[in-house]
Amino acid sequence: MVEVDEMVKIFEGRLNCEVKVQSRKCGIKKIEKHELFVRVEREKFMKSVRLLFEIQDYPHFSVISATDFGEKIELLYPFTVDYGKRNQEKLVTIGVSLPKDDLKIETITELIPGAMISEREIHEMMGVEFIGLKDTRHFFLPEDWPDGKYPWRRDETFPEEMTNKMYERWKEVSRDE
Amino acid sequence: MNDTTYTLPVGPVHPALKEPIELVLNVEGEKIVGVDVICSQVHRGIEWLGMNRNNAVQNIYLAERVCGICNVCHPYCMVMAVEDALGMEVPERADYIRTIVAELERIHSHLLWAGVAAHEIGFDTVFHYSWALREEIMDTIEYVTGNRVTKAIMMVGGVRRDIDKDRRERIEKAMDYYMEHFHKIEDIFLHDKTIKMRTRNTGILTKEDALKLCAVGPLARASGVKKDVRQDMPYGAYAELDMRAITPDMYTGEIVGDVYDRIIVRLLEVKQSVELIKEALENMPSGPILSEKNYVKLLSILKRAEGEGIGRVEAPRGEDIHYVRLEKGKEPFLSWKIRAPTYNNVLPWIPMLLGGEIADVPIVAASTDPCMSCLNRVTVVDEDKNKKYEITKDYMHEQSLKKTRRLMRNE
Repeated sequence: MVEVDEMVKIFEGRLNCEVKVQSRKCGIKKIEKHELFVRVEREKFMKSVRLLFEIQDYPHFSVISATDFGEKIELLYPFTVDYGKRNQEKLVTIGVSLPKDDLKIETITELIPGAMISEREIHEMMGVEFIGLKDTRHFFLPEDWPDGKYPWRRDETFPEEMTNKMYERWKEVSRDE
Repeated sequence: MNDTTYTLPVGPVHPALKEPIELVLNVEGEKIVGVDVICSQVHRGIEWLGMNRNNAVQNIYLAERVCGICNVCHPYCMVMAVEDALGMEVPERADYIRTIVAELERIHSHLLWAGVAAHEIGFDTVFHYSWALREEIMDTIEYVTGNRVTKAIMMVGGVRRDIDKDRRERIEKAMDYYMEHFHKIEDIFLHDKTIKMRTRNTGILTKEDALKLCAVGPLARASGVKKDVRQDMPYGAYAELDMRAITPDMYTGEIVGDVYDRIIVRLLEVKQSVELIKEALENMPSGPILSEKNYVKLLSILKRAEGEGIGRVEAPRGEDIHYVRLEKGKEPFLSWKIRAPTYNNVLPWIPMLLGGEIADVPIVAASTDPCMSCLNRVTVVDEDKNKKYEITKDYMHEQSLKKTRRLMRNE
């Protein structure tokens, strides 16, 4: 078991990156809980995930969240370690930014098979390529979804023509009548 | 795949619960040798709406509609993520009210599941009995929040309605009712011969698989992973309540990781919820229930805010997690990611179903309490003859009933 401060030091020392700690109080006793945001470069991403395995045998992987910032896309991987003990769990979010013209990152499914659905989701919704991901079929989007259209992007690859504009359709119907 | 292997698509509308998910099974006779899961039939783009159309407060009500059963945990999770991003503190009384409402929801969800599970193995008397018991909690929820299903009680910075003396008495009455009836549900589910026959050693998920596939909630706990957000990283009032993760060895002394163990975990959690609610009602402090009462001011705070936050809640089915990122001058979220528990509990279906029988598919699928699945139609493809046979949900259900009867005869 590692304390929060110690954990911050491990990440800062081993990965040479900045760690943001966000705390929140709850209840009458104002017991604090901490969230760690570790933002690393792409080259150090796998190293940071392996570092979590040193802290615990099976770090729990939750999901991948993706944000489109225009020039780049940021992926966030929230992990929890030290679970199973009262009030001891830590939430470590590993973030990595990818430039839009080179959207590639290594898969973590070899370390954590449970990440498959999430990687397939980001692959289809954001167009990020996961190097080494064996199954790249669509998971949430239909099989016949057009190539190169990504619903969570905020650029020209967003399928604008597919959005359902209810108000426009309403006008059409009333005109026909 | 050899000559005797057949592909059996189950779904898109699945036999276990009334929601769409597709299972493609490779079967050799009755035995399942390969499993693939296909989702996508009900992706509604809720995250997209939250990122492009609604403001933060409208998103609370949208989050409530992610799932009809988990309609407290999703908005709870979302407001926690927003408060985390804003650095906003919640009044103590609001923390307690949130906890009580979340636990009321857990009781209703677990009882609903118990009924569905009984129905899947053909024990319809128990199905009706569980759902009759559930009515009491639904009436209480309606009395306390004003609505049976979408409770609309969460708000950024607190809750919208208080639990006054009248409502408190109503909750206490309901809790006494459940304490009175608990031994009967326990007796039916844990000591009945038929239920034990169909669920013991069925759909086993080993601890290692649960950890590798990141299973959450009662599914993971039934396999011996003591993971519960309420215990590990307490939110709301849980840090002050007597909360510990429930594993089946507390009841039977061993962990098998089968469907029976999942029944134990869920039933004990119902009892635990009742105790938690009683404890929370007793310790509930007085004071305000909202940290920012002025709605217009709240909206302007939200619009000016910049930051990111993560909210985590233990939903009845497992850990729920929301990530929210706010951008200055923009009303919708810059980024919103919802991870409902079933998202992680779908992959464990594969090891659970492998080696099992077709008749066990409904109960094994139902045992994870999937939030998005159910069966309506099955097509059996005979690859050699290239013929398609359609099997209805009723046929599948009948097969499940036959297995129960067969086992009872051999007893």
